[in-house]
Amino acid sequence: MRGGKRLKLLVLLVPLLILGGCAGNSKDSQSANKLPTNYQTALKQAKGQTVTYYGFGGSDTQNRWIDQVVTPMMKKKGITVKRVPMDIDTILNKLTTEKEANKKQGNIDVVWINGENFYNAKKLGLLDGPLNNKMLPNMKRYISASDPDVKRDMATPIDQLEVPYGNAQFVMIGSKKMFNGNYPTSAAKLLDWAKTNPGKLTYVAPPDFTGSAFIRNIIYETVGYQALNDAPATKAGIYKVIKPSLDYLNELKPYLWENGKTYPKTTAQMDKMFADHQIALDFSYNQMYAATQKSTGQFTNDAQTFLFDKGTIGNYNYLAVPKTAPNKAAAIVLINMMLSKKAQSEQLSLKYGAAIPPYSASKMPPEITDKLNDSAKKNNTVPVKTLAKKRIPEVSGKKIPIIEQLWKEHVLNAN
Amino acid sequence: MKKLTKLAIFLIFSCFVFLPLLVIVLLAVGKSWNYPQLLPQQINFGSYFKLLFTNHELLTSLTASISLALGTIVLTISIAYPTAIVLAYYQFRGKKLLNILVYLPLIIPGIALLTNVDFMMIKLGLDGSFLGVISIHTLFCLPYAIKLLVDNLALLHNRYEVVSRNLGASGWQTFFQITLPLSKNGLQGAVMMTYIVSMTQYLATLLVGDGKYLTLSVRMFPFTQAGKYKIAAVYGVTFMLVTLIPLYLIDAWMSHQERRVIKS
Repeated sequence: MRGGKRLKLLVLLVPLLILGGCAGNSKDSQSANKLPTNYQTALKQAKGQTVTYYGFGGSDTQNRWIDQVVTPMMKKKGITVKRVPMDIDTILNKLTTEKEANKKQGNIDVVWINGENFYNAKKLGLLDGPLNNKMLPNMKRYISASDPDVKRDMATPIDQLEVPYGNAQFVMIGSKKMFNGNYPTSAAKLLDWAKTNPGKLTYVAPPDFTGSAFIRNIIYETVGYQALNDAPATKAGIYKVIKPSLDYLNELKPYLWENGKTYPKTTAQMDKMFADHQIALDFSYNQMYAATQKSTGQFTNDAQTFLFDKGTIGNYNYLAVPKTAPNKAAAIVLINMMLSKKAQSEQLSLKYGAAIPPYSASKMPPEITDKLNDSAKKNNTVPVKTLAKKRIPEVSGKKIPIIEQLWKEHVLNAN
Repeated sequence: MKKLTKLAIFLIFSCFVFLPLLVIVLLAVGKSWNYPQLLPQQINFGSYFKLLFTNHELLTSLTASISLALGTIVLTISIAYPTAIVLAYYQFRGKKLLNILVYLPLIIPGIALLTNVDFMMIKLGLDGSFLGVISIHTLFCLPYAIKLLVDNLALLHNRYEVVSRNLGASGWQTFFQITLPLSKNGLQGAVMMTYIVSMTQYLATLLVGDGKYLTLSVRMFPFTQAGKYKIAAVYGVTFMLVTLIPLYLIDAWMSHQERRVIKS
């Protein structure tokens, strides 16, 4: 009998769950809202709304930029910004589940996305579009539609489903003292220098982001971007194409730090070794990295940023609006705001990560060009024109893990 | 000799438990800690407290964490306690099966379970609601809570309850006068375990919570992923404090009650 009573208690709890269910359901019955047709309507509709921005939360400079620059700017337009730290894999997972459950309205308005993740999101039809010049005056003003990075994101056609908002390019940072002002601006020069100065170079082992980019840059140097881009995304296909690059890395290997038997595991470790003059060359995916590091006292004026003559890999960060976004008008205003000259020039400051605007070189406002060129003089970074001229696109994200695997098999574990 | 081995075991155990904790604390308060040095060059507690009290995010996430944990405790105990009593004191068909089913949430891989639970929550309209999030927390707390309670109850047997019923007490009277006071230790353990498990839920809170519940774990995780160990450590220390202090308080209160009972 008593057991029966306990059971009753359990049964009593069930209605609670159902009650909760009814309360939440009404939200879904609203029809999915549509992207506004132009910026003016978006601005009008967005007033009083809250826009939720989902992005990787692990970059404190990026978080600070959103919280201290973008959010107050949006507040002036009567829109509240909420920032949710979520990695892109989880975001896509969430969006896919929402789609499967046929949910019309989710909670994500704007996502930070790029490369492989964009490819997946596009394939699954998770993103809304077209995000075009009519809705985004700042995109029209500063980004020319013919830019390769507006057309393709790591070889995936963008089709107006995402908008660039941040610009990254691989740069080399050399020690003035150790290179004596004569920087190795090509793979061949790098190898020559290594042979005369053994043990003074190294790179972070992939799959570290930066180490992986260095290897791709070496591939661009030795066989060219086009060859890698045209190669089929299979292990055999890529191996055939990048064989000369792997040979190059193997030739370089005995002249590396610790004879190339071990590699630094993190960029932080490499930065430290560079600062201590243990190695002569450091790398970064942020064009202004030397300046940021100088401001925190890690690097000195000895650090000089330079590029390979044939160019270095560049990629963009993008913003997209999911189909299930509840406040699409506010999402458009947010994206436009993040592209604005004010927000972008603020982002150039070191405390916000010194990220370079995604603007086309021809449309870059003079203030920003000046700021960048000024930094080039003061902090030995590279002027913006040179960066734009020597920029090579990324290859398809599918090829990157294959290249990393081949490096491991043929360089790291080679005898 | 025996004492020595005991001491050695104790020391090894403490190393395993306390060294990682020490590293987290040092990361949070240390300044300019570079590779070959064993310890940070400077210790600065001020920076920790400054970050703690000026960081609006940290405080709001604390509230989110604790309110979810309290909700989870209520829901978990109200499900786990009756279940544990049934499992410990009654024989019925399918008891063995139920015993195994209790552990299912821990056996199924998290991401597979969570994606599907999220799907169901969306269908039920519970995603993003407080009830939705505490239900999913409860799912992961139940195995621990039930196991702790069953062990505790099985130790006591239901002999006192049988006597009480024999002497004419009603079912409810027996429950409140006998079963509840006797299983206090088990309940205490279950509450604490639930609190900790709920506080540490990351993916569940993020997925089912629709980004509305930005708890300490949710805020901390991206920083550890990005190698921002200092910020992550500040969150980590705060996390330890808010987990340990309530545990200590509950424990102190419980022992105080016990002493009072013995005295009277």
